[in-house]
Amino acid sequence: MKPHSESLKLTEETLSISIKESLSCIAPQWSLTQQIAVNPFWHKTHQSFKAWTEELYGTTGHLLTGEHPLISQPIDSALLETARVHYHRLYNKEAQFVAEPSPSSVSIKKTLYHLMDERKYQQHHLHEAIRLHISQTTAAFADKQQSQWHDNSSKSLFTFWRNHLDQRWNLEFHALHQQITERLKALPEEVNEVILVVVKALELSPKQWQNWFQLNLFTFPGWASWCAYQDQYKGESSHQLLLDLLAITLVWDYLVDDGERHPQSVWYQWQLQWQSVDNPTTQRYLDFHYSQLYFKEYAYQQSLIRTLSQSYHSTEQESGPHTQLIFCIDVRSEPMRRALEEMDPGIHTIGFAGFFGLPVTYHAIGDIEGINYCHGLLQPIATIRQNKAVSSRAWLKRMRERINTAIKVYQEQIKSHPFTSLLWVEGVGLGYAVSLLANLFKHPTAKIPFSYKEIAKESLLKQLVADEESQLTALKNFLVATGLKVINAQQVVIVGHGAQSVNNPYLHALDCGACGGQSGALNAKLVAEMLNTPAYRQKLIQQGFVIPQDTRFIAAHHNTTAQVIELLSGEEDEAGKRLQQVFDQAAQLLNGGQGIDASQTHREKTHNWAQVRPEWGLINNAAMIVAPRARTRGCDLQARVFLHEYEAKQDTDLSQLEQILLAPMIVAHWINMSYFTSRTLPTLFGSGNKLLHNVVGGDVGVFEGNSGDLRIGLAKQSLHDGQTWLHEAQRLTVIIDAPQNNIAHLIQKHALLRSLIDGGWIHLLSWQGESFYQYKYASWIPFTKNETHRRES
Amino acid sequence: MELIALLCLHALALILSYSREEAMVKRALWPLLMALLLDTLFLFKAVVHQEASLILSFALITLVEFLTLVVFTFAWDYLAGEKNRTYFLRLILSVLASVVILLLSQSLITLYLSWCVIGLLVNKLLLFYPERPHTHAIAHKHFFNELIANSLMGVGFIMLAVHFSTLSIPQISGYLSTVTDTYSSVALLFIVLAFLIKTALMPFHGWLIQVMEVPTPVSALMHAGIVNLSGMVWLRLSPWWEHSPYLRDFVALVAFMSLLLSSIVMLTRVSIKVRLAWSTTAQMSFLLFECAQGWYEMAFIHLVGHSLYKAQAFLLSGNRVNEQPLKKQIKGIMGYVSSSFYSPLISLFISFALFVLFNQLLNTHFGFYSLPIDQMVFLSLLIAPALWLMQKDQVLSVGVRVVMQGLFILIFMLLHSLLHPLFTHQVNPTNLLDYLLLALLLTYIVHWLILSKQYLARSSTLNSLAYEGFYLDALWTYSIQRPLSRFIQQYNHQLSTFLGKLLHEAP
Repeated sequence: MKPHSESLKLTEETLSISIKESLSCIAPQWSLTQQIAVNPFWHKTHQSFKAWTEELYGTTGHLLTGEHPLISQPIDSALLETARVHYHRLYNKEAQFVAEPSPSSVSIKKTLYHLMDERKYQQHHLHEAIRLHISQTTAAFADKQQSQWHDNSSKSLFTFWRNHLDQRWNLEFHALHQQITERLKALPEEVNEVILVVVKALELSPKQWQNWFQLNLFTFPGWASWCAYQDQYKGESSHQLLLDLLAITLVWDYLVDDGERHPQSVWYQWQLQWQSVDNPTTQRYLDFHYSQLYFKEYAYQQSLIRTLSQSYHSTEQESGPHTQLIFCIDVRSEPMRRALEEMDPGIHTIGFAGFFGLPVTYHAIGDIEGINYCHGLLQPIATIRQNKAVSSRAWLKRMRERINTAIKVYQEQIKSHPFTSLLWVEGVGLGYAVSLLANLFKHPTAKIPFSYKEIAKESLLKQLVADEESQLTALKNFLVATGLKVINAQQVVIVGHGAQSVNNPYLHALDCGACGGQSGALNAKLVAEMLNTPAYRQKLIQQGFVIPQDTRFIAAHHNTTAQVIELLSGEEDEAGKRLQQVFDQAAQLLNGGQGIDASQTHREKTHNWAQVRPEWGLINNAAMIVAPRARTRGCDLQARVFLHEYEAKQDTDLSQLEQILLAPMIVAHWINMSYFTSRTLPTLFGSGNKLLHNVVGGDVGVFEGNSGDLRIGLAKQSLHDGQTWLHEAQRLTVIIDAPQNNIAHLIQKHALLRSLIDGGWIHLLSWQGESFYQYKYASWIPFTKNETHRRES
Repeated sequence: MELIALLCLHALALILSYSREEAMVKRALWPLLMALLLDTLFLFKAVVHQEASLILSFALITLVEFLTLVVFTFAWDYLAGEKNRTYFLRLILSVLASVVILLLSQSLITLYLSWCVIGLLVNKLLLFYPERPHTHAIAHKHFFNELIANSLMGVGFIMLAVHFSTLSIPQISGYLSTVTDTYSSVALLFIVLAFLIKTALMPFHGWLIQVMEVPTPVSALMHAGIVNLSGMVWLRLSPWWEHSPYLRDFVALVAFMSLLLSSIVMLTRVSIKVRLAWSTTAQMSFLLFECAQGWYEMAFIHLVGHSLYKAQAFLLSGNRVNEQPLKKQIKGIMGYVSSSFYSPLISLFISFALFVLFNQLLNTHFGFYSLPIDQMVFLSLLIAPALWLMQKDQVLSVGVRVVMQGLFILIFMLLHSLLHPLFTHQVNPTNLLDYLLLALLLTYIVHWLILSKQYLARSSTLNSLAYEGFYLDALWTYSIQRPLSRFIQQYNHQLSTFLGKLLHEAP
């Protein structure tokens, strides 16, 4: 008795470990209204990048580093040599720059039900039918906002799916109908027990369990990410949707299993997939592609430090700036900052996370949940409740609003009810001809909800609900971190950014990620208002800040699609008008031409309902520089670099650097890995063809077509211009201008940083004077400039 | 005459679209624009001369031209970077030319052939991305349906042609509008069955719902233009149905069933495009119902209005994400549909009262045609849900909505009265409507229960049934279509490759 129960206990332990490990290969994905870029392997960063690449390849056959050829330009052999030397210093291994063919075995691994379909049931399209069923059931469970008749019978995804399959008339599975019904009925109630039954029935060796679970989860990366999001951010603590989804896929394997285990059976072919990985051919193949990726990054790092070294010699004397501009660290800010600084040496720009230190939630009237204007990793510290400013004519205004709302409700009801919509098109159908024409001529009829223009009209401070202490602390941190403890400038402009496009389900992915996929204009306006208020200023001055009497804080909005900046406050007076002129000039400089032509092209991107490539977003992002702006001023970084302001001399307790490494750097890493995986693994982490996008559940995500897995990540049109791929997938290179000991101390203090940097997810370089050192395993390896390699800048 | 002028312009547009230079292909818009202007001119002329059938034809042609123009311009930008962009434009120009021929044809042969060609071109559109896994199954389903419909229609036309010894449509209309014997009725039955299949009424709706495997402008064109054709042809051939009350009742019954079922399934769809597709099925069912009931001016307005609305809804479907915050806000302010039992009854009463009121007004003061009572009850049942009470409704919001409802009904009645004189071949109404009213009332209550989340709405079994579309498409596909279409798949493939070569499809 004892040995049996002990072996059972061991099995259960191994099982739960395998489950836990495989569930961690899925990272959450936010809704379309709060869309931010995510590193899909965020929970796997405790493994090194290379190790995870190998594990992913072994489990699923997908190659994370991507199989792209070396850079198309002729490869400089000198550069290759230095790359080889540096690789050896970093990893203590030889780089593999000789081309290796892909292993002969079929690469992408298949689930048991997929193989069963191929071998036995193909004319019944079993695989497609199963995928459709899983996806449709999860969609029905997930949707709370599109359909008007939900089935709320169950809180557990697994029970929901099971009931649905049970009471359904399964015409698609008629070949296996009997078997499916019997086995389904015999399964226990609770999910963990079900998994135990299935695992026992399928007789796979425990070493393969993790491979099996991970493969199954990666057949539905979209829905799995939604489940993970619900579990981690939205659900009650008892939620385990991701486990339910895993169980569903496992049960399908069990339901179609034919019981045969001999060497010609489907089962044998299935478990054989995971046995051919450790051979040397595969290893060399993986090493080769990893080395290619490394070489691409190395070449970029060389060109970057060459650009930076040029700047170091050409820094001008620091005279007091008359205007300070604070931008988000987003790579799209870089060209604009360069243009502005070129025009006037009295303009200084600073990079800071786009929510400007004040993460808030915005509640429009009637909106109970609110929209978070901060990154998904952060918690908002304050709330803004929309209310109309009180005035003497308030009664009339309120009445007008109520009438407007009633009209909107009527329109909503008559359009959405099946019967009334029949007569709606008869009565008002002709009006749509006008609307079609308007859209055709680029006057979009679709309304933007809570646009920054609407929000910025009212005073945000009056609608704020927060305690003063936290507000003051946030302001203090903001001013210190941007180096504005002592302000000399007459105006400080806080520039939030957002994008503009029409008919785009992914519009929030182009907005500011630090603001939860919204425009940073709200945060900018709020901070500017606070700092202009005498009460706050007094308190700050009392605590040692230097803010001159006539210094004004102004909020502005950088439209990254049209590449223009507009003021949100203070635009009426002289100084404001001059400032707007400066902005317009910079915009013209960036768009390289006359004013009229530029605005035409803008409308093509911003007002065009058929535009699938409104802007390129953060394409080709490759590096992050944490240094004073003076060190990078004038360098043409080609909109590939995140720029965060940091002055090591003023950061005596290292708290600012710590803050930067633990927040903005992580956000940049997520963006970098999101673009990386969308480029190298488009079937898993790219949302496919925009032309087929079909919004699910209001804002849950998109289907590519009728149904199927939820598609997450960037669409092909966001990375491909129709002819070639435009995004170079490479890992983030972070360059920090700080003493090496300080950096090393912080890295060793936080396990997260250690695993990210030592694991090769991020390249970290220190930049002191003219020399660069790369960090690896608590030591610094000199990063020598490749002087012999001449490249056109 | 007009047909030749229009065809020349369309041929010019097609020729331009075959050019290798992309800039030249875009110039195909100009002949299209000219054709549109010509259409409006002809329409104006017909209105001035008060030629009812020409007004009808040209209004419909103008609609289709306008839609194609919009889709062309949209697709030009939308498919930027796609290798098959010009091929797509050639396809829709061909479809347009065929539709023009269809709507202006005076002979049975041109009508039949143009409709067959449209079916083949639509099939090509469905195969726009042949590498996608589901596309071929859907295209086969469509091809199968088209084959059956074309065969039925062919048999019906041949029977009529033989019986009346003529291929001319006006002549046949003349014969049929005086008397319809049993032989003609059987022929008409075949033709009407073909209409039902081509309009994708349930249970033949499968392919239309699954048409999302192709780019958005294709879905837009399909739902806004192509499925409407049956309705357009029915209106054109209105004299044919004058003396066949049983036939019309049959169509009315099938269309009504389809309407009821699709209106319930519509409520369970989770993605925007599929929701719009089911809405099209309901709208098309209603269209054929109106045609069968002889409410011709309503069918006409419905055709025009629905096409424009659906085109916009599909093309702007990406905007659904932007609508979400607004919908949430409205839900927060107003809540769900109230569960008070008085709400559906009072809304019905108020809507009916408004109908009667405006009907009286327009009849006595302007001498317009007066609607029969049962039609007004029918329409009131359809429009009443707009007045259902919400949970957080107050006097002001209810009042505003009643006013809006009144305005809407007024506009509706005005349009109806203005267009009524266009359709001279009136049909005598049958008693079927009175029985159907009962079914409609029941469905009305069912909708109310679902939207106010009461009683049967909480049943998981019923929800599952509706979610599966009442299994109608599954039954059709797995019991009939798949087993039989194995024989014709190769013909589908051959025809499709041939057409692809003709239209210079990129591999």
